[in-house]
Amino acid sequence: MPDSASIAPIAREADGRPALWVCNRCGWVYDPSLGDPLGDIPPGVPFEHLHDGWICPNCGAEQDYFFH
Amino acid sequence: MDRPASRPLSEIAAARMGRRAALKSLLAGTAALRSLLAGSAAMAVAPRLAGAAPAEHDPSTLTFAQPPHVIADDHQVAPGHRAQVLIRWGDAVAEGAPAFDPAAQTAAAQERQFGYNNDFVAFMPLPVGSDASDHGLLCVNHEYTNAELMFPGLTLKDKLERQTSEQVAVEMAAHGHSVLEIRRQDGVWAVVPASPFARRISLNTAMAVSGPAAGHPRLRTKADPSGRVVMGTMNNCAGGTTPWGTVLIAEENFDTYFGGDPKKTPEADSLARIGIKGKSRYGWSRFHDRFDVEKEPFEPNRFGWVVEIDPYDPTFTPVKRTALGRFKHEAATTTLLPDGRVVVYSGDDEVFEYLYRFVTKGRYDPRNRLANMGLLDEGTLAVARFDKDGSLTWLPLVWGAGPLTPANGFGDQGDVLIDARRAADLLGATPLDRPEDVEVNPANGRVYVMLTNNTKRKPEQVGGPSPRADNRHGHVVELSPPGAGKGRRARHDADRFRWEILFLAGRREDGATTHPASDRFGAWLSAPDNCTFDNRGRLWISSDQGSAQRKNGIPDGMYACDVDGPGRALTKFFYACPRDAEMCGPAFTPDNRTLFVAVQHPGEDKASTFDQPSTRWPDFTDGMPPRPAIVAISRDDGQPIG
Repeated sequence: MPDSASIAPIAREADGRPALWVCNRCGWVYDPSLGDPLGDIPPGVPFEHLHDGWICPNCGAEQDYFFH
Repeated sequence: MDRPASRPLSEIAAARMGRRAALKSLLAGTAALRSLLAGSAAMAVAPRLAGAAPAEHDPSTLTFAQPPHVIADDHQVAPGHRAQVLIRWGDAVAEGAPAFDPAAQTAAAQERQFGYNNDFVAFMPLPVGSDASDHGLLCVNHEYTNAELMFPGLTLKDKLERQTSEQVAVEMAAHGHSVLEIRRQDGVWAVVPASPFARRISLNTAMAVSGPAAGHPRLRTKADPSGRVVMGTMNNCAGGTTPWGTVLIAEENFDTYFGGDPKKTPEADSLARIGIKGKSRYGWSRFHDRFDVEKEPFEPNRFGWVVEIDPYDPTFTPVKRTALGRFKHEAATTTLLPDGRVVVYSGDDEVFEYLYRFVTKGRYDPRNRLANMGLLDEGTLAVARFDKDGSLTWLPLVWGAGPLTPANGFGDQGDVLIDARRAADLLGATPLDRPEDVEVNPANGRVYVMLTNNTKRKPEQVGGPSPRADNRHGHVVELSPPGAGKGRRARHDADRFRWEILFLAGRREDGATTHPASDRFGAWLSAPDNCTFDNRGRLWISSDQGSAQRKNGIPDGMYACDVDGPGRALTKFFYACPRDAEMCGPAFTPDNRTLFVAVQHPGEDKASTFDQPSTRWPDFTDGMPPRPAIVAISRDDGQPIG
């Protein structure tokens, strides 16, 4: 049974890639093709599939502070 | 460069006794007390008063009463003080500025009005070179913009798509710097209208590039084939002042302004190291090609520098001083060596980044002010390696030396400076927990480094100057150049310093190591960011918890502590920012009777917008959004603060 995160719709860039998301607190960018090495997120994870506890690796802001 | 010198007695003693505490015990009675409590060299890394019996009396020399330590819509200051809002976003700066109308903003108006998100503040006395405290220039950085709070109808989620070209132009005009002439009469500060010194600097101000990277091929663009003229400055966080009366403003998170795919450029590796990934926090690249790295791959190389401004000359062309290196400069703090050379300290504000120092080759000439304008163009940039034995070694970033050669992609000193982070990686610099402000204490010659937080430090990465995993509250590191101490001359040009931790911030249960009497007589803080010293050498810290403000339940604001004596690291709370703001720019007048602070991004929260902000500070008027503003704090009785 998939959890709610894995069935959430995924925002995409114009070229079809999963969207890059920007932290409104510090400007740090989550790029799904890079993941978040500091947060043990491997490449390939869309922003919408990050676990609930994931926060901005640079400033600590929660996911609600991100936009794309 | 190596400067052989006889070892000071303290160093010899410390080496012989095998304990850093020995060094301290030679210096002063208060230091000796601390070292007795320290125990071992390893423990000397932790503050030495941890574990002492609770104090019956307040050992701090700071005697003000604290305001309520709670988050509120309005700001609050210590009882017996007043906090005057001096100037707000949109207020007039340059002659001809129209009255601020948030519903009808134009870039032309904003170019004459006080910019957004004030950060660094410097009080520069008038006349130049004096220690006047009633009349001077207030020099203020405008770090960044929050479109969703500045303009009606935008939200966090849609601002990039919906912003208009004129709104972007307003944002670009709201960045940069303001110079204001201000005067204090009967204890009240006022901006002098139509002052000849008044000036706004923005993304539209032409700036010169100087130093070893000036004219470098990697600084050239279609608009500037010379690589020597840049339009504007941005993300000016903190800064510093020079002995010759100029202001240094630091370009910090410049990576966040650029769109376009960096992988499609010849600068892919360099852009990646600085954090450019092809998505901007701003919508500027939709309207301006220079913010699209696919169209102008070298434009990002023209930011990330320290910019020098002469506030006393409104016609002065600001200069980007490339000799100080390119990274996310939080600030640029100077100190003068006894022989007239000048030292600049600067932190690179990102998790796991470094601390840098620049030492000029030339000497300051106090009799000829203008002769000092090129001093920051020639000298040696170095980066800090902290060792676990309590020593710090400065590693020079000099082209051709060590790994900084063509084999590693460095064709000249310009490459070393443009890619200072990569050069520092190769030299083995020590990654820190977001180095923010770095300031020299004029009373004891020591250097204080604010390390604001790093939630990504893992247990296996703990050690040395970074003793805490998942460091949510940050800490303050104290550096001692040889010769530091009251009434002595610290050798800020030395190749090796000593370091120790002044305190770990947070609550006790978070592992805080502030003075134990802080719990009774002081207050806890989180995320130290900027700082300054009063005339007695006491440390005044501004905090920026970011989104953690709500989680922690305490406001950002001003805190202060002794750094010497029995009240060392006893943190007290002095001023509270309004809700969702961070505190920046603490700056005293020379007489310490006024403390200027910058309230940045009041109301910045995930659901907060122009239309429905989380606070309307400082106006609290319907239709008026929250406005970043400068606050002048003074005592009711007019005596020095503290």
